[in-house]
Amino acid sequence: MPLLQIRHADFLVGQKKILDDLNFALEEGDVHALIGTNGTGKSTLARLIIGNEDYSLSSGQILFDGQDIGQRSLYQRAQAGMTMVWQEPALFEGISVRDYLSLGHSLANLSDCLAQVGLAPDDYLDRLLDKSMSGGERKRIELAAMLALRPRLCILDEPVAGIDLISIDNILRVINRIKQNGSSILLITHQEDVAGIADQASLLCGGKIILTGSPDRVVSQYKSRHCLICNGQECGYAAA
Amino acid sequence: MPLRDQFFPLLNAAGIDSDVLADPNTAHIVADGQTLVSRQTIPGLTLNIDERGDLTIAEINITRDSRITQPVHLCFGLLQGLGSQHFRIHIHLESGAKAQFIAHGLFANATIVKHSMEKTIAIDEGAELHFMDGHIHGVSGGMEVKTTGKVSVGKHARYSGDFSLTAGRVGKLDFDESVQADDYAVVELVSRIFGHENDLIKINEAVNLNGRFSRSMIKSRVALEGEARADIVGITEGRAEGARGHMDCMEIIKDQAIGQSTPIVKVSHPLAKITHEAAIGTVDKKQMETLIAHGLSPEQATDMIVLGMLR
Repeated sequence: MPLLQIRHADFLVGQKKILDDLNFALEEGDVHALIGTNGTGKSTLARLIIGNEDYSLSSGQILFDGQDIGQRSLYQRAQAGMTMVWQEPALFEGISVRDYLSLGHSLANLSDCLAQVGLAPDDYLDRLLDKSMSGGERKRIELAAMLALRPRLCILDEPVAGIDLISIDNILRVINRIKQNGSSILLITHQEDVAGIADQASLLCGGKIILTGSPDRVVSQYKSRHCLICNGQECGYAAA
Repeated sequence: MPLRDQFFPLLNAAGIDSDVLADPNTAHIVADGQTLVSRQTIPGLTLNIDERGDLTIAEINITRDSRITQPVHLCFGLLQGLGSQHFRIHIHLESGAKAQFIAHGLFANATIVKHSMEKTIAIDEGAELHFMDGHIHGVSGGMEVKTTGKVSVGKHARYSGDFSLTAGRVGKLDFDESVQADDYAVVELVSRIFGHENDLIKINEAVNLNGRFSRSMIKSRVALEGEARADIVGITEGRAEGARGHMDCMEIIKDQAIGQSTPIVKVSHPLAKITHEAAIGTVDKKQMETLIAHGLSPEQATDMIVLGMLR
């Protein structure tokens, strides 16, 4: 049984269908990349899965561990073991990195978690998660929090956005470490090198999953800019 | 028990080690209402106290180039539940002097109490003063605090004022401070308040950047719940070449509370620049989601965000 399963999901904003009969499955222990161009609904799908209060399916189901979680709140989903790293993580006044990494009653070695994401613990543990922190630093802190938290399902929305090029390999190693810690990962990206570390990949186009398979195959299809369903006539993918 | 020792639990509750009052290297004043309980001076600091019945006047002078290494503690409070306290305090830092003052408003036992503090501060050329004023109130809401400050900051001098009232009910607070900054002076004013039930909060902070290349920051952080109300006014006037000022007000509102922020920017020199930002509203949704996704309940997340902002 997949850890996460989405069945016949529709999501409308006004009259516009953002997700259209979407079906998706993520196996326990996998890193599953979700690829698609800007505006195809990747982040919307992430928000629906995590339970953002402004997002709920128009129809269809989201199953986590076999349970329909469609009516569960973000808090209930987090308690069940789901969490998410947003594309632009929130900043906080007066909350230190140490406080933040300790959330969720983490017993992890916080210094080790920071070191793994390339941040010196002595320099960062007592720093505040406020405006003084760059986007890249904040993103690394978020990944360190995933190492500390060890969720069952971790949704990573564009995890290398804002990360300098020479550090991307390190971030990809961290994602693998999160997996080794026992977390399953939904990896949302539009970068082929990032998708390359996944066990499985799916291509999202026009609100549908149009292909699921090995990352090589899915990335190859993604780069062809050719929609398998409508040939780009309806979703605009080929013309993008 | 000596009266001074009765302050120890109040100090400890405020997070201050009460042993500081026994330290011969730490200057202090302790007053219970209008009763002077204890005082201590140290080399480089002179202290005169004039007790006039319902008004106590303290004059503190720090001599030229003196570095007061231990914070000067001003413990103003009331051990009883009812009463009043009226202090007038004059602080003068001669040129090149440096000191940190920590004022404690210890009113944890107060039910109906009026506390009035009039403060004048003169910081001469090149001197530095950090003045922290933290109040601890009880839960009755019967406190009435009126604080006024007039501060002059000389050339190349620095002043930072930090007022906090985040423990217990505020009651009624009227905080009014104005600062005059000379050439190259640096001014930072920070206020942190947590209002509950029907607390009334009025803050008025003004900085006049009179001197060339003087700089200032006014930062207000207010959390309100219940039916509390806050009216925050920040005024910065740039009157000289290179003067730079910024005001930053953030209020988090819950329940039926009402917050108002009024930034007033005046520039009377073409080479001065003043900026401001204000955010008033409920707890930030993105912050909430992030903390909940990390395992906190909505209530725990709200508390963490509010307390972080007030920290």
